[in-house]
Amino acid sequence: MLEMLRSGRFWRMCVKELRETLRDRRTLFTLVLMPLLVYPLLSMTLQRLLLSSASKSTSDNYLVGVQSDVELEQFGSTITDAQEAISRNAYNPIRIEVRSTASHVYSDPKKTHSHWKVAVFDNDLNELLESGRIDLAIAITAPAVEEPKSSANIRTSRKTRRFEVRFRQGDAQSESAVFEFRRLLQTLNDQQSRQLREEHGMGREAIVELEATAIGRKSSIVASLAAVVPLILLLMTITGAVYPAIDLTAGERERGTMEALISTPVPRFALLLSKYVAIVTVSVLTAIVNVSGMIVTFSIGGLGKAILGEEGVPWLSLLQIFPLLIVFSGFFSAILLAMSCVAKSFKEAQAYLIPTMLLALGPGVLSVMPGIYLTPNMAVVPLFNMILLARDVLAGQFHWFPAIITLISTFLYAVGVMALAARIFGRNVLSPQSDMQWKRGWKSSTANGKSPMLGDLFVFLAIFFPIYFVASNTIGVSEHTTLTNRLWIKASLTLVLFLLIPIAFAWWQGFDMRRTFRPFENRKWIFLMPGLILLVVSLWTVAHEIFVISELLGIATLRPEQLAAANQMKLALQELPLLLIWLTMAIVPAIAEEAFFRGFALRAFLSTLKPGFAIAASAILFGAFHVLTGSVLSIERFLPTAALGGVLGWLAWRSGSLMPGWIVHAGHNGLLFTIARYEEPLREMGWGVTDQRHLPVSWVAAGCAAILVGLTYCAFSTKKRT
Amino acid sequence: MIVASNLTKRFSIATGVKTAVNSLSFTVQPGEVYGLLGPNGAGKTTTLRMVMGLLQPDEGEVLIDGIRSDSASQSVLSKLGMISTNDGVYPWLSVREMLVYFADLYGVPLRDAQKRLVELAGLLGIETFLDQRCSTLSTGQRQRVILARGLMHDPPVMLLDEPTRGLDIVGSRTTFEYIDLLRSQGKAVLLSTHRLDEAERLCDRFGLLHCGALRYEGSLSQLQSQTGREHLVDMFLELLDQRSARSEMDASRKAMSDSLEGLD
Repeated sequence: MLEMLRSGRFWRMCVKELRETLRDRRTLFTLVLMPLLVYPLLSMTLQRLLLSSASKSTSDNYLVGVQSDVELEQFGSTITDAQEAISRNAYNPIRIEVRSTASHVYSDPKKTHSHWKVAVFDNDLNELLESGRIDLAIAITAPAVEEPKSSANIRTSRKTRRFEVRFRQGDAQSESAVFEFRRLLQTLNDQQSRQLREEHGMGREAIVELEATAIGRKSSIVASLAAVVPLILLLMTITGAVYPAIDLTAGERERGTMEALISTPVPRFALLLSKYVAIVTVSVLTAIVNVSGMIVTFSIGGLGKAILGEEGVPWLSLLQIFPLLIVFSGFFSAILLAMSCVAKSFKEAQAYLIPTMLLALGPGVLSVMPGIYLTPNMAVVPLFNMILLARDVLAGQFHWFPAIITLISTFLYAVGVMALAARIFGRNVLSPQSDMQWKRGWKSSTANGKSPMLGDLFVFLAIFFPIYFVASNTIGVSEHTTLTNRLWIKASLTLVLFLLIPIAFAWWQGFDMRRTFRPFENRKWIFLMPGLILLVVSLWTVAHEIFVISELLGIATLRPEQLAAANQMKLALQELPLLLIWLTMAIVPAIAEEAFFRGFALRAFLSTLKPGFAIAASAILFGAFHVLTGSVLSIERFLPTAALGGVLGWLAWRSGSLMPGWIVHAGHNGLLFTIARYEEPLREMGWGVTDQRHLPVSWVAAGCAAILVGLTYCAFSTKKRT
Repeated sequence: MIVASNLTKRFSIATGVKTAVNSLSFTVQPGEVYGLLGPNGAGKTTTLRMVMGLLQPDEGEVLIDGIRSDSASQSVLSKLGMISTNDGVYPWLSVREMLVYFADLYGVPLRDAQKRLVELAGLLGIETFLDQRCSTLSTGQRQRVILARGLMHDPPVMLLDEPTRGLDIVGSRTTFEYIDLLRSQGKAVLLSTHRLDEAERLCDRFGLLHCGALRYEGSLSQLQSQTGREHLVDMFLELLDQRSARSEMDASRKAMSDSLEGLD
């Protein structure tokens, strides 16, 4: 695969798939025509919905508050101009009544459509607005329009009058007022612009500007509409992926090109991946066309501000939502590709994919219901998480933690589904029945006595990650639980998650347990003991230094209250028996985590990668899982844990057994917690090692030297093996 | 070059297990055209797929140049060229694009692929529609393009599954001439067909398959002496007669057992 990437062959394969797809008119129809049809229709429907909801609850009498007579005067003159413009055009006549201490009245009693009352207030206009006593609060910030002296200097002499309008968000009357006022100013601008063109041959120029600011919470109807937008966007993105997914798999099978393709000496996963890249590209292109179509349509239709807020198109949010669309495209393209791989014909693929899309609508619609938020647990629910995150991003109020979990989980699901697809791809050309492919997809192709491959690990991670995250988040511990019980719960959870679940998966997939977990494959580990003991007593020094350096570099994410809780726990540990601490925090985690990270995971990485890369990959995985502990993201734990994972991985690979890892891991954890437990006596002896400070240089130097000696010893003791 | 020993393949179907290929053994030497002949459902295509390494045999093995086809299929596949009548083309690509794409998949450098394309286009008479979209090709033109596709990487072993089906007389003659050329170039050719006349003309040796098992094998003269028949067609018909005779025998056996059960 790497060779194919280097030679550029893989990219040529992707280009071929993409070229073939984009030349097909059916793809172009979905890509271009659908957004062109859907968004105008949607815009019209939403506009009707908004107008009908507004007309039900509003009257045409609006009360406007200003704070000075000058503003009142300027507002009056603008409204009069607008009135004249409207009368000239003979549409939507208005009645205007401007009232203040001087009490000017402008009105059109014949054809009353909207009725404006303007008054000067000394009070804070925001308070009046929030209490509902006025519908709009207006401040005029620029000088009044000056008439041009000649057509030559018309551009420079004309100045814009700027209305800063505040309205109550969520109040139909106030929103209707701002809508009407905007319409008035638009009419005035159009009329003035026309006049300028006729008299001086000048182009369009804004005479009055409006800047509206919302106050208060959004109304439920508008909020719901805004929530629907990401759902539509995501669904349209899926639509873009459907046709290419079917055509490049089941379609190819139907055309009879699949057998020729899989007869080539290109790994099937590379063939599948090139198709996947093409599908994701088309899907992302569809997303771009959709975003553009939506913005243009809503802006032209005047719905942009109603749906996206007064700031109009949230460019920053759109930039943020774009990577989400790519991740979502990746996830759904993988699902569609996997399902199409099972089908033997276009028709069969359609029969699978259309119900899938309809099923996807269910959680999609539920996720836009009010009262549903992107909580950390919700962030691992596929589809829900992406739509909720897109909604929050568009609203400009997302939180990083669930956002990161959403992206990680969606990425893992996509990779897991691709690994499943790779098990099926191309096989249905040769198999008489497609229902057998479903079974084949769930079972590893390397089953029956073999150890896991990389694809099997990805499938496992896709299943395991949500379980791990929700379990460590939910089966937590209430504040009323005693520390002893909390330690037992945590140890049991670690045992279930990292030992029992991988064993159950390996059994389900039919892997050879001994070869997968390699507990005692090489009994000569006993000769490594001196080296292992050296590592146990020295590793913590370097781990501690990396931790402190991480904090100094500013990659610490633990908040002060979380650090305080950790310190409190450290103090509580001092009351517990040492045996309990070793059992629950050293031995059990070592047994379980080594079985998964250095057994199952390292074995799977070694099936595809060179030993160095495989060890590094398993170390990164080990570090990543330690970063995500429940609802806390402790990035500063990554480097020390990954470094420890690297050493443990190397030991497992060199020795061919989990035993050295068990000893070093348990010894390392046990030593750290023992030091924490005996902090006070150690401090009295002048060993203040649990503070978040650097260790003495001599300690670090001694630690490094001991690690080097320990590793060298282990390397020599296992020399024959390698 | 191709050594198949004791090949057996069974498929699970709704009614039980069907043995598609049963203890099949044959060899094809470089410079030899071996005809795998038999009626529909005899197991020819399954055999070719096992030779390709696309299907794992339940028993036995195939060695291509000494390498097991199922164990190291990626290296084996680069030595093989497969042409099947069931193959299709990419409708939205031009003939040139498709052939160069397949050459690339086999690791042929672009310049060599272009050279090979010109060579094959002249040989197979496809130069006039090289830049035409594949969807616009006639059946015969498509067949010739498929033939060119299998030969783009100049493999030492060719597997041909009904290569002349759908071709007109001129197209068939072109194919025959090319198979002759392959033989003269020292390639091992495994040809599966039920066009016995063309097999008789093209093949050096034959294997007559029936119900997944090899009934007769050898050169035409050897088969003639084994069967006492002059032509392959007669040998083939004899195989079919044997099958119908067996089914008649089975039917009479069943009728007899039914009547015995009735007596009980």
